[in-house]
Amino acid sequence: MIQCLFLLSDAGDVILEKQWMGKRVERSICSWFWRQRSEMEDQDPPSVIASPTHYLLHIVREGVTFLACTASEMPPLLGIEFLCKVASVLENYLGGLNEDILKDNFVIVYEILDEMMDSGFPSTTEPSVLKEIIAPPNLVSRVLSVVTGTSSSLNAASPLATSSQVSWRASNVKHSNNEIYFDLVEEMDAVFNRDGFVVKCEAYGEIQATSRLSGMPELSLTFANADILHDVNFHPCVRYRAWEADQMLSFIPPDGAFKLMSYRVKGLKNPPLFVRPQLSSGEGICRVNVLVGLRGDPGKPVDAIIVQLPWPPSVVSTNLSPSVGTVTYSFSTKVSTWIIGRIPKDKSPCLSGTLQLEPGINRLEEFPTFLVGFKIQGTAVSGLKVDKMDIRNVEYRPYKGFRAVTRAASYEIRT
Amino acid sequence: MFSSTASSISKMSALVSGVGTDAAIYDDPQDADIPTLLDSRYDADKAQGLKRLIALMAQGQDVSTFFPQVVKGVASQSLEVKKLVYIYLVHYADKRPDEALLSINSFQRDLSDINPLVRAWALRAMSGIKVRAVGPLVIMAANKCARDPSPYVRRCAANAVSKIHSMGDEQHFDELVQLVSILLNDNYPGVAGAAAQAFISVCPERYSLLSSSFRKLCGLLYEADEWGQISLMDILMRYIVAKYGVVRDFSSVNVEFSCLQQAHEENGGDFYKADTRSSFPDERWEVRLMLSSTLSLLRSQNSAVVLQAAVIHWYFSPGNELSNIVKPLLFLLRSSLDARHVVLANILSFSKCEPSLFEAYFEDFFICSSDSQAIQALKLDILTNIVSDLSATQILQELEAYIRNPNSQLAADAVNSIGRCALRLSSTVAICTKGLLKLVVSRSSRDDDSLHNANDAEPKVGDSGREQYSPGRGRVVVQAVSSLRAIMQKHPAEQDQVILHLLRNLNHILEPTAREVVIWMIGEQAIARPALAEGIPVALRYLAKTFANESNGTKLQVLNCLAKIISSSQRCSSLKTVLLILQYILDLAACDLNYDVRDRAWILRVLLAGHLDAIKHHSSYDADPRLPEIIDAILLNIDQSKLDPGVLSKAANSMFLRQKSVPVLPSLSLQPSTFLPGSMSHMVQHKSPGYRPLPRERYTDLSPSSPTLPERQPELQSQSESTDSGSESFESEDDGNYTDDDLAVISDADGNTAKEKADLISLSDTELLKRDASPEDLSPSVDLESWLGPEEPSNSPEDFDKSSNSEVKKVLALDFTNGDGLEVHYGFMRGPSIFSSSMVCVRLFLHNKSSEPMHGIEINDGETAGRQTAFESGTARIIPPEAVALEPGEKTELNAHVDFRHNLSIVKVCLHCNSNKFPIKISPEPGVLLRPRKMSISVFLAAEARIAGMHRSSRRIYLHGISPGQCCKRIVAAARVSFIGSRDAEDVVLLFGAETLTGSLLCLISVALEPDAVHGTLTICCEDTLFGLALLNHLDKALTSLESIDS
Repeated sequence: MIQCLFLLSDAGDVILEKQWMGKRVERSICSWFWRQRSEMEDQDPPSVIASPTHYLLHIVREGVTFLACTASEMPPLLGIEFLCKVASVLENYLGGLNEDILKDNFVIVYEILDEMMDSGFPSTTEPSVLKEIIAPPNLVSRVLSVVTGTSSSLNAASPLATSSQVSWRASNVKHSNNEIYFDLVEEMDAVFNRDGFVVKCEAYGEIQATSRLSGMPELSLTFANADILHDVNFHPCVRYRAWEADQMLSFIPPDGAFKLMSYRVKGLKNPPLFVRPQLSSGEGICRVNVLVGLRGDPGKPVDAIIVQLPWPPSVVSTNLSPSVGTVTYSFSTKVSTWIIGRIPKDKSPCLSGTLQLEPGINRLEEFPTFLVGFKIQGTAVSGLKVDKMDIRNVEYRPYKGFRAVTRAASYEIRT
Repeated sequence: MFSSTASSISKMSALVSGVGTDAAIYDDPQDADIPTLLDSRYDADKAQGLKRLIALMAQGQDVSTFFPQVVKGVASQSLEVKKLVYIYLVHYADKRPDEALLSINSFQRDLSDINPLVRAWALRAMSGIKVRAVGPLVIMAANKCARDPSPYVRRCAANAVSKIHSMGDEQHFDELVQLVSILLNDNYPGVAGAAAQAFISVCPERYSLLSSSFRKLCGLLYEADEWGQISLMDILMRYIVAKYGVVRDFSSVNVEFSCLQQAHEENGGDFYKADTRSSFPDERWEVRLMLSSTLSLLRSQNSAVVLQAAVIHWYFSPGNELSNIVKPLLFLLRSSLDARHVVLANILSFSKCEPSLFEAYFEDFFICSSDSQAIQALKLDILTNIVSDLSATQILQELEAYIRNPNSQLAADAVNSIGRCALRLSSTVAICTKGLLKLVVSRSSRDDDSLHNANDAEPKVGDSGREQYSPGRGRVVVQAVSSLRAIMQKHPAEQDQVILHLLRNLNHILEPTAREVVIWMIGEQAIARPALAEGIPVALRYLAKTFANESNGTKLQVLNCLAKIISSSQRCSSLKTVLLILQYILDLAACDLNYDVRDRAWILRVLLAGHLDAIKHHSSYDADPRLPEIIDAILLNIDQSKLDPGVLSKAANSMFLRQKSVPVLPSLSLQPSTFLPGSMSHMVQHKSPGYRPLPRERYTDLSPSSPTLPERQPELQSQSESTDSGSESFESEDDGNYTDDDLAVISDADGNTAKEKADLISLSDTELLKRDASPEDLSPSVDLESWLGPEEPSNSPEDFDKSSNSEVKKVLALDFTNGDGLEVHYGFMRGPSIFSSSMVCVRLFLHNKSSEPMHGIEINDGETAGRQTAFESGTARIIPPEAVALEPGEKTELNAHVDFRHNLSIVKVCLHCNSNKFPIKISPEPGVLLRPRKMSISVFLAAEARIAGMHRSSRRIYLHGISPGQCCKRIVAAARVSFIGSRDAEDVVLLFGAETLTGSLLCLISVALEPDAVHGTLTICCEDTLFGLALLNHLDKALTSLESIDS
């Protein structure tokens, strides 16, 4: 079982340590881990490593490394998922995650960590339940603490939500404005081979909900085209039977923000952007010509287009000029970044120029993979459509909101 | 709450630091007087003080000295102070248990608090105090809390149960089991989940507790919290395995024989459907119930839950339903990015056994640029496992794309994968071979045109040529050539074209390792098809020219290649050329700078004498008159009268013309293992502490004991055996490049041998394990003989017997000046004790140096007077020798038998003589607490691979240039171990096996001697880490000391 947790800053310093078991784990394990990490150069080491004394599990969030140690058998994924949970709970509580925020709120962090794990096994990890035990820091309580001198972050004598019938929701939630929002956040993964053909194109989506509803509302959400979903997984509040039978999400939502479901749609035919690279090399110089343009009409404007061109080690310097946007080149990482933004109506973006190769190398033998980033507000590229959302078991009529956004996640162009 | 009594200090500090955050406290915890704050009457001050302590704790300082003051804070009514105190107590309770006792009263009061939080926290803090005396109190508290109205408190009680159990107090075991049973029957899902965890830690084998609540637990599964689901699934799965066995396993690819499977076959697979009817004619409804209730968990957002559910379905679902697990597992790769590495490692294991499951989803294993190296390797391994005729084209195209990637590691791995695809699917052999050849040629000939055209006659192979090579590029070529070799050996039909192609491009292949492989292939080709060998003299002529500039490895291969040609193709038309080249190269090699090359040249000269002699005397040759002349020149310095040509040619044939087994291209990531998927051990590839394999099913004894061999890998199986026997026997292969007086060492053409072997061994693990446990291995009677295996010809067992018994290392225990003239030495005997196999025989050497007779010399524990038959001293148990008397000047030897109980601490005994008492200390050496353990090399390697991580310690040592034989002697003299054999890697590795006297833990020792014989690496694998370290120190001393027994 997990013996302890270290939070490490991006410089490798221990921000804080929390020991859960009697047997303390020395801090020296962190420096061992950091050495391993620096030996891996730019890569993150595997999430499970066996050190000479302990098994180490870690994740990285916003530059903070969450490092858990155990000396005995346990499911490694349990540890990793727990760390993810800790990271998301802390982020949720503190409104962000970095060294300073953690130090500012270390007492709350300790209280949370103490609640989340008991004797090495995860205990209360549901954010809404945790919030009933430990109040999140907010300006009011802080001002109050200065005025009164008391600074308790603990909710005194509140009946615990765990006594309610559903473990993720207290029975006595009250809001003056009843509202619920759904965000469809989709990420597009695509790979184009060097002939410009699509090797793979799929969308991964999450429905992130924010619920501020009083009482015990029964919600049901249906899709117009649920059959396009290739994979799904659900928040524990979703009734699996209803989904199996009617492809309907039926659930009592937890209070606050939560991830209702995630899904994947495979085999998409319409990636919104094309990138046509041409590299021709000879006599120590490589001529580059990259064209970017829209493929079909995604319906909404494509924003924040950015192309990353990581050059192979044999490239010494670059001389590139774009017709639209700006190009920057980083000498340390050998990556050119071309920021296009939105494609103008009259001009098609084109990047051209030359690369200087290392002396002694005539032709480019290794071919880089370009990475593309973009964002489309207001549309879900998978085409998933919410049909309707019903609410039962309550008197009021809540405000309902839907939004959608698509981002490129790993949109790769091979050359 | 709104008390106006707040101290001004805290207000000020809070104001200064910005509104209400604790940043100032973290940055400078000690700017206020902490003890004063803690002793304050006001809760706010106490909280301040405690926060400062926690800040110090967070920064890694030891603030346990404040314990007494903090404990007082438990009595505070403030919830915040309480919480902070609890955090502090949980952190330090085990460090200062006695002071923690002070707080027991407050905890007990808190257990009746109206706030469930306070009750739960009190129990949590109480169970953290590891003092036996409070055990009953804590159990009482846990009992009370287990019946608490609040589920939060009940869950805390479940967690407390495991904590109480970890105190190790067996007295309360039954009460704890009782508690677990109560909590398992709790109606609240969260509690049942925590209770499952308590069940795992307290009584994991007590399946009877589950049989009554099985149905209920399955029902609660979906509603339990995610962590509880994991524990619940674990115990349910083990319960079913214990009851029925499994349908599918990793130990064999085929379905394992078990009663589940049996029923499966009898009913044509539809007994599962029995449950859909209203009654359960069969008791196996439990399996069906568990499967159906875990089906929904495959859609969990928690990857650990999904994987655990998938493992259950893997073990139990009938064949056609197994595909349920595929999509959820694959979706994890996208939805839980942090879990990817672990999930892929498990998919790898699944796909190894059931490639068809994932066949259609190969796209999910395509590599994207954000994948780390470990993930890339796993994905490639999976792709090569699941490649099928349908997907081959696309997978190969994708692999081809990776070769163009700037990441040279990925490119090399992709080439390796192409080779493995071809080995797996014979339909792809042609296209793979073509692609690899193209790759070798195109990659190698880059820039050559400009570089070598000028002096084509003598391409630079030396350093100047290699400078143009980026190391990554070379890696790709080496990998491509190795892949080609593997394909060729498996499908010899394709060979002609490939060999010609490679031959033609040999001058462009600059990477030495790649050249070695190509030359090796030429040699093999010469054996297989002497008729086709026209191209060979051309190649040889070229190699003769470049010989001086080749790398050492290539030179050795050239020599081997020549030897093969001479041994096989005596009737070759261009015999004269070959002989001339042989003479030229042998002469060159004889003057080489490298002693390996020189040695090889001399050995070959002698070995080939037989064949050459035959050629010389073959009358039917269209005798080129110069032939005998050349042969005489080759054999110039060899006294042929002492050689028997027949024997020599036979020896040469057996070395050079052997059938070579097809190499296995090593997998890139994890070796296949039989550890439970989803477990830590599965990830780290060794048995981690606390790992529990699946329980043995009840009916195992009835089923046939011999496991069926995996059908799909018959060639691997047989190969592993042949490889094993190859390395154990002493026939030196032609590629061998090292011989020593005591040890023959075999090395293969490429350096991957060790890895390949490890690969093979784990495949045949099950069989080895069976051998492992055979009774005669364990019996101490083989002890003396086993010090040296029969493989060690020069050192007969008697040598060691003598040296070990006559030259027992004596340690002075009592000096005659202190002992009234009695001098005592002691030494540890090699053989097993006559009393018990866990005892050590300690020989006492007594010498009466006084002028008076001594009588009644005996040993006891010093407390009770008179003779004792056996007594305890510290942890050790001692059987003393009979009392003796000594005349002046007389010497005698006595045997005491001591069971050190695996403890290296000094044992104190008392020697009585003439009614005087002399204390004697016996300090055991780590080498003594062992018992030799014989095993085969393969078993050794398999066991060594299992014992890894923190159980393995190694050290580089300075050996003063002792030979392997001496090294072997020294180790056997220093510790009671059995010499197992030697293994060849780049270095000579000597292997020794032993097990501890107490507990019979395996203890594996290996000494890798570097070629210079000056340095070596000593590695010890022992499941007792501390003991392993002590042994390491001991052996290090024995090996490095100059005045060891043999010098």
